[in-house]
Amino acid sequence: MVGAPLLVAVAVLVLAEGTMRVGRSYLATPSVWPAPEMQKKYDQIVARAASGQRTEVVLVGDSLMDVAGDPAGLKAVGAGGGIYNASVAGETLPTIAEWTTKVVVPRLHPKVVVVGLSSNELNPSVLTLPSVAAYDASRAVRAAEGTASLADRGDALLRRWSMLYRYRASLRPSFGPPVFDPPLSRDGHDLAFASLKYLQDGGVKRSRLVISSVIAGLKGFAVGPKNVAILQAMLTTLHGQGIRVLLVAMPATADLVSFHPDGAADYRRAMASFAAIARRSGARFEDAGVWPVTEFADPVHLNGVGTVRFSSYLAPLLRQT
Amino acid sequence: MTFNSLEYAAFLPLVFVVYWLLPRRPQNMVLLIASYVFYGAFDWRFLGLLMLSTVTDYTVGRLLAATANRQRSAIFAISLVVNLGILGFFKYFNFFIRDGSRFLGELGIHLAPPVVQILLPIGISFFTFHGMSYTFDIYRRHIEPTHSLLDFAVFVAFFPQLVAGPIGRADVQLPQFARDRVRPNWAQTRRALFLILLGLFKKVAVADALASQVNNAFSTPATTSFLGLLVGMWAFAFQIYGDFSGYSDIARGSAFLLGIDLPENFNQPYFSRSVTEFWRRWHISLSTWLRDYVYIPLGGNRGGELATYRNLLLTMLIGGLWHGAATTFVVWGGLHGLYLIGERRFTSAHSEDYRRPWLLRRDLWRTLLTFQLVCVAWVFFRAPSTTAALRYLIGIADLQGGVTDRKAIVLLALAGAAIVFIDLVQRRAGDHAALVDLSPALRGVVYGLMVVAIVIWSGGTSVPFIYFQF
Repeated sequence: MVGAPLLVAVAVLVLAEGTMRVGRSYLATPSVWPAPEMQKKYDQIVARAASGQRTEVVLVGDSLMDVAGDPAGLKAVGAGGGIYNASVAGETLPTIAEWTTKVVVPRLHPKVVVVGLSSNELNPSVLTLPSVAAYDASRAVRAAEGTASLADRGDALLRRWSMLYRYRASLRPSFGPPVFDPPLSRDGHDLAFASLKYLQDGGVKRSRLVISSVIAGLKGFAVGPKNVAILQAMLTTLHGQGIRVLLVAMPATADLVSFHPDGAADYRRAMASFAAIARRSGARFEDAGVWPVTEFADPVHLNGVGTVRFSSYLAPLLRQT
Repeated sequence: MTFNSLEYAAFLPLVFVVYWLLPRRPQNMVLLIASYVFYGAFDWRFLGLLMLSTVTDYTVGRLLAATANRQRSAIFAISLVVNLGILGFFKYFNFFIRDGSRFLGELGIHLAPPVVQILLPIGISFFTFHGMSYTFDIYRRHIEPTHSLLDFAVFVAFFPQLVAGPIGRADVQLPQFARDRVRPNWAQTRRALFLILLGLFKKVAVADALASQVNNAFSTPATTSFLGLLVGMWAFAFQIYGDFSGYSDIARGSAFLLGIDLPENFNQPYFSRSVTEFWRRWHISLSTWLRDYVYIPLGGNRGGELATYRNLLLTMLIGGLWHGAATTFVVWGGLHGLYLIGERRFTSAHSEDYRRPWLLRRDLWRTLLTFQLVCVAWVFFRAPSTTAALRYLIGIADLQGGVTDRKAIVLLALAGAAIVFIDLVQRRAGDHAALVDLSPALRGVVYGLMVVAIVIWSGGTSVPFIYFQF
């Protein structure tokens, strides 16, 4: 009585598993990290570490550093080789700090870390964004940080054994706006914005989206004590490991400064906080200042022209650090 | 610790084994400890509230039984004040402060009321209603109070139904905790396990599968076509049904394993031919609670047509407010109240002519109309504000152009077909676990497909059970 339905049910499962094994080559490889870019960069970092490739400098931050930090461009202007851009678009201070100190640095062992941030990262609103919760809830993050639970290990085992389980995310339709998945260079440079002009070249819709999200991110701007504590802990940890740390306030547009509720006064407060945090944690601070819009794809992201200038700006700082 | 978590998958078997190794008194102690652990896993800080409500209602029950007529009302009021006080403070304080000051502001009286960050204890609406039904029934002399605080505490905190029902009734459930329970035989265990599997399927492969497209439709109504909005509205109807009835199935299955029979909470509600019938089939434990403790005490249908309409509207408004401190829920309840009044005023009983072709039967069209009316009300339930709900409905009525995601239509068709299939089988057999009685081969196919669907949709958008917020 018990056996027949159970046998049939198992047969259905085996059939589904077999179908997945045959058909998986037609499916996209499912991402286990919270963002596709993070998955790609983790794979690059692991491959880089496994190959024994030397990493002298790591660039970390959010999308601003992701598009601005061009290791090849830096090498071309004399900053030396062994540079990797580990920044991830869409991430904010809490995840940048964890990703840097618990995933990137323990694998690449750099001598210098360049942390590129903008004023918005000091606003308390960045602490509660969905990306922070997604990072905290990620099994892949826990596995990479060495804090995998029993359930995480079970999940990893199932992924190895069952293709139905591993590829299940690829079978689910997704709704809502497409997930940002930029093309990357081999050393982690995000190439998505390189060819764009300021609010032009078909980028208008995207720029509006960026502008509205930047304005939303700066709403009620204040320098949050928890943000200060997170950044300071991150810089102090890196400094304590013998790593030289350079904190860079990323190039800004006049538009970005004006988006702050209190305009330039808010922006200056953020820069002063960055300087104070760097001083307290043994890091060096540099403010790139306001750059012309011809070097930007939108109010916050540099385009190809701006990236070239950023390389020229950063190279001497790296030599001095 | 939600029903669809790995923690619960370990917790339930552990409780099951320990529970059946012991005689009745220690069994109730195991249930109480397990229930407090279960509740504490959400937020241990609110355990005190649960205990306060329990001790108050137990004491009030004992005092009511020992007190003469005059003082009974005052004693009963203690239970009301404590339970409604807990509910009022944690659930409605900010709602009344915020909306009250807004209303006064429109009258030209500007206040700056304090905004207090109050966390909503999970399941608060369920356990307070649980306790109040007990004292109410003793007050009305429908039941005798229990002499065992332990039995009563287990009745209030019983973990399968603690955070999202079904809302228990003391006359049916309390005696089950007071007597020896019979260990379920294999057929009963199979039935219980099937209910758990069915609940997981409804939650993970129907409700969670639809959640993302519903979120998308309700977050971008201005750019979604009228067809996309319609699909989003229907998808939410199936999402909330899958979510809540799935929870109830898992609760009933878990309770069955412990020898406790919980009431059915859903009875194929979308097959209803009228909104009146819908309320006999949807969230049955709440609708009967409201009928017995609000509608009938208000006078029910005993005071003429107008009084009946008033009572219906008031009951449904309270039902809406029970769900949450927001005008959207009040409008949702009010809309259902108006539907009930309209049906009572304008429709009459009819007999179906079964010689007619299936498509021409009145029952089919009444069922479809009822479903649409219920869906329109769901828009208010789901939308972030009444304005947003109205904009959503206007987008449908205007035949608005915009984006239509074909994937959403396919997914809704699949999820809807699964729900209709399950409900049809249950309806024909008159049994919620009717799929257990299919032929062994067909049963195996259904089990296998359910597990495959659960595997595919697990680990996707993790959505808490919708009724947890109430």
